[in-house]
Amino acid sequence: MTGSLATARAGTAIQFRGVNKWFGRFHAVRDLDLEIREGEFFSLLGPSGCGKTTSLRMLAGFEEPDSGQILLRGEDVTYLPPNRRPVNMVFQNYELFPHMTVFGNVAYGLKLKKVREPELSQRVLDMLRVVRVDGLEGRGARQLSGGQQQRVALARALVNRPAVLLLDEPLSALDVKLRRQMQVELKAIQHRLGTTFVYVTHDQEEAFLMSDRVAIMNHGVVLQVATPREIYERPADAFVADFVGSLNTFEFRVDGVAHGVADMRLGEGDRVRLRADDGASWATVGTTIRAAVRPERVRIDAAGAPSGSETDTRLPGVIAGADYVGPATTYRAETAVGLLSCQQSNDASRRDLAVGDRVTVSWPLDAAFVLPSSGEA
Amino acid sequence: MTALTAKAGTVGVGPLPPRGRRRRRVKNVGARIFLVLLAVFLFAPLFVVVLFSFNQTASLSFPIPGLSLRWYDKVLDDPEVVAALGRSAIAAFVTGLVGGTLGILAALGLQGLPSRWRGIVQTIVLVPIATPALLLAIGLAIYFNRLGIKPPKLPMAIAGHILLALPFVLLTMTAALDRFRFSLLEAARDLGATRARAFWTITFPLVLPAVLGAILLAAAVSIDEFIIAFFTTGTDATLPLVIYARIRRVIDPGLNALATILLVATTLLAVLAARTTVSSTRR
Repeated sequence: MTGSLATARAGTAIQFRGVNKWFGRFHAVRDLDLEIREGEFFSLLGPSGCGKTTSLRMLAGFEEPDSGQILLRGEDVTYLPPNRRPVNMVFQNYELFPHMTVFGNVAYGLKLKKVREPELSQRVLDMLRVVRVDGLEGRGARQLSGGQQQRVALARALVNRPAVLLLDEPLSALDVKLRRQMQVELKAIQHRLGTTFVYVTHDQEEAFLMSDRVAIMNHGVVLQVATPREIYERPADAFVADFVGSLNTFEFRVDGVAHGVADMRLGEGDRVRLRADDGASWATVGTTIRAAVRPERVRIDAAGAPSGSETDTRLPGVIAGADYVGPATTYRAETAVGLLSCQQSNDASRRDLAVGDRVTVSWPLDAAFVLPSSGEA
Repeated sequence: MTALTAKAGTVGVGPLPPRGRRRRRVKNVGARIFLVLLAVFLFAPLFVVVLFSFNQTASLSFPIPGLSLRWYDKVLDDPEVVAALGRSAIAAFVTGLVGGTLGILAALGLQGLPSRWRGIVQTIVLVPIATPALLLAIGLAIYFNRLGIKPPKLPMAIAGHILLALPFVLLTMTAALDRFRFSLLEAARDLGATRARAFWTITFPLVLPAVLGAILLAAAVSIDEFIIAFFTTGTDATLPLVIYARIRRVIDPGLNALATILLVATTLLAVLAARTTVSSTRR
């Protein structure tokens, strides 16, 4: 359409450029800049009302941005109607056509594109096989279970071979077991077809399990775009850190810096250590920052147990509570930096501790990270 | 002691449920009697008319001496009656078609309005239901007269019938569209359908039962309408007018046959309308 092809980078499927969307006085999406690569499984993750669904709907063409540009494979599609975009969507409530059979639903898009028999039937049946509902093509759309509807909705979108497949919380209506199964399958299907998937969800685990990269959104702003691992282990700010998992946070006062490691000295030679990368602005004596460590990285031992590495943080503590959930137990230990949650898996090395037990709480140097305050990301 | 109380317990508890059941059955019988009486009250006059339409003789005495179709023969040989039947059929057909189409378009248009305006417009459109048909009829007569339009009489009556049927059509269609999931249209658009295409392949087939129901309802309103026809048709009398004119002169057993025809036609339309709308709600 427009001649913006030159500006597109090879391998870029989608670009949001300074996109804003208002609903009345509600600023749903703010200055969104985003690049989604060809062939990746990309998730928009955030709490409800964060703008993730609005962003997806702008990509599909159901909403128009108030400002900014959306490029699809280098072409400006900002104001293109949905029927003229090479993208297809899997809706939250599936939106299967109730007066058609499974075959009719899946063939709908192909018929509009004037695909003729026998190619039409061939492609429909092939796709039903991919999503594993072959044999149901004669069923009415109303006679399907939730999981089957989900699969048919997926087939109906994918059969058109879209440049990008959009998925709007497609698994939220399924029960937990089926959802997990579908997550694994979705990932496998995406891998097999190589189609770019843009997935909207508020479920952190779901996003992490399937995605190559995740964008975390809140209040219409993208806070971080990275791999699940980066987001979890190096969150851009406190909101991201908290949203993607449980977190122990504490005040860290810099008492000394040596060899790229900052110390906070507590009584009796106990130290909390934090990696201070070269040029970290906070790494000067006297500065106080917020630091965090994930509960599953914290180790808990009976007091006096042999120490691990020299650079580990080691703190004495007292067990204040224990929550047993089957595969793991989360202990809460009172320490010099406050109450710390420590999640211990109940494996062969399990140690049963009781409230009041004296313990040593420890974690490796790289487990803890600095928590940038929100807005500074 | 314990054995005794246990025994007492079984004795006391045992007969209770049947008694409760019996009482409910008695209540049921009462309700049934009431229902039968109500049905008799409502349908006895109709039954009498239908029965006498098959009467062998002209006397309206009971019991009837025998069954025959002579009154149907007589009435259907009467050119005045046949002409009136034809006019009524035309009126019902046109009212259904035009009223149905207008009502459906109005209902679709209403969907696009912001909800506050929708309420206001809907109320205004429903006013004819609450207006006495007499006022409507006089109003229409004056209106056509003042405009100096001297159309053939029947179209004037049909215009009135459309006005009368419109609220019913609108109500049926609005109810159907309220149940329609408009997000289905997004799915269709996403799959490549233009707005028009999405309407014809998704919206239309899904609300079609309601559309047919609305059209039949409009036809049913027209076919037994009297007051507006009386004020507008003049010499182009519809069936209800012919019946009325004859009843004033003599008691004609042929009228029973005529009334029965009218009754069957309206009932058929109403039942068809109810059936199609009900099937559209089961979604």
